[in-house]
Amino acid sequence: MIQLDHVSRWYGQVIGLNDVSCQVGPGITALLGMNGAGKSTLIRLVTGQIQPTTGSISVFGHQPFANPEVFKILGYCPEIDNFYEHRSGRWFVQHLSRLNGFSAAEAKSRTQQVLERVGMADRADRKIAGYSKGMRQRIKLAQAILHEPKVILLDEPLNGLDPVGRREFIDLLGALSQEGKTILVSSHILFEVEQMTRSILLLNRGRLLAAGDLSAIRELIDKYPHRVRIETPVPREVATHLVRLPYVINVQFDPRGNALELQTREPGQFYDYLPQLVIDEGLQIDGFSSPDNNLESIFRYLVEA
Amino acid sequence: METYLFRSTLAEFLRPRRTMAWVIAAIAIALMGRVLISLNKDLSAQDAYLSLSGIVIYKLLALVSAIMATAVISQEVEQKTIVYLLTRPIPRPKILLARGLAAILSVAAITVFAGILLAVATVGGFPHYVLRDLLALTVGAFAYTSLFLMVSLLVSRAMIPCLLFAFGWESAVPSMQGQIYLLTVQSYLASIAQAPADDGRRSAMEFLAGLLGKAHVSSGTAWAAMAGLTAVCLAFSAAWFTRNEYVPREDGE
Repeated sequence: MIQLDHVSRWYGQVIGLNDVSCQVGPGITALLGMNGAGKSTLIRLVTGQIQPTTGSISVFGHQPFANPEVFKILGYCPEIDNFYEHRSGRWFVQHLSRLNGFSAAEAKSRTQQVLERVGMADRADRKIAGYSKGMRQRIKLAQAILHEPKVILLDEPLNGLDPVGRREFIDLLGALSQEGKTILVSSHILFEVEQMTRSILLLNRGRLLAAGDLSAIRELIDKYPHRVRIETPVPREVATHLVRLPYVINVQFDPRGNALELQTREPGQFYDYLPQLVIDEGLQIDGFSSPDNNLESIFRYLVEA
Repeated sequence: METYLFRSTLAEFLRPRRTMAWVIAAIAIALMGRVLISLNKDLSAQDAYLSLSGIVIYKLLALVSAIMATAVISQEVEQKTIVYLLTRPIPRPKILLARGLAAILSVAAITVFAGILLAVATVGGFPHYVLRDLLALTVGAFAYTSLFLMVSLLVSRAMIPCLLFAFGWESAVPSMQGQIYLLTVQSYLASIAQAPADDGRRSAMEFLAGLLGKAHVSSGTAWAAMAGLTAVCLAFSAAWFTRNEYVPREDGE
């Protein structure tokens, strides 16, 4: 469990993180925010590289700054792309494995296992200087998980990965999450995060704008009505029934004539009513979706608010 | 973990690509000694040694110390690889001391190698004044590297102040009036090089001490001063490194 209690961090006159309180438990939590929002500052605080100016942080009960007890249970995949370029990926992972306290034989064995897990076993003996961005990301992930930490922090881990690599990376994070790890992933690319988790921390200009489940956060944004798109061959008939509902604000038709989009302030009530409408009136509805129940929209709403 | 960190750092500091330049410099100094003897038939082997040993003791030692000391932590910060070190379960003082000791031994190995090569090339063996110079080089490796390591933690781009100290302060101050020479490492190394008893021949340190002014530091004081300087610098560095943040600056938000 990672816990931040009224944490602020200043860099001289500039504030990096402003009075942030939150908890991160097992599973994948996404740390979202634009560049400069404070994501890396938060991750550096949790990984004990920097100290909070005010407030306190604990990782499984330990304050993290320069604390070896924390580093036994924490794996960190930094955003920086710097390595010992003249060394091979295998040497790098094995070297860090030794620094984690494993014997030479165990380090060698663990290195092989973790390289296989991140899909780098066949390329690990080449010098890092010749690695692609995606290969570098995999090696960074390998060194972060080699000691089977309880907590894994990944700073923009999907940068530079090709679509296949991203899918594999997300699947791997999912598997680690299933093992009960606490995983905090920072990203500024929302659609990537949506594929990983529904649990988010949203930062903007150093402040925590929102924390929790994506849907729950969306519910809290009552300033903006929810949009619902309904696919139907009879949009006008469906609209006739829907506009009577007090919580439906407006209805717009798709120019192609096969859908309509409405706005509602009570999505829960609306979704309860919709099946009843289909049954009672015999209307054909091919599908429905919520175009703004995604990170992009929530992020935009919260930041604008 | 600490032992592995020490061994791996030592291997890194002494890897061929890193030491190649120093080996070439050592060979060049030794060859200069041979050339000096060949060109000047009146010059004794001892004088040829004394003529060139100052380069090893006063130039090479300080230069290698400055480069190795700044590689201990600040180079890792500049290369942004420090994060991998600082997120391992090793206490920070142990990280610093393991890497610092590796740097000290690397400096000692390189400079003693250069001293040995010069002695072999000129006097063809290891008379007492050569052995005393090698001892002074080893002590100097501890003192200079510890001092420069501390400086590298306190200021960014530490190489410049380190070299200014080594080639400016250390060269100018011993010849100044009064007891300000006590604030130089050289004065103490000169004293260590003179011990034990003088048998009439002069070591490189004695020769240079004579040029720079008579040294007034006793051998015991010199040993105590160098041991104290090394201990204080390493202890201060360890404490400083433990309390302060080391994050690549350009990445800071």
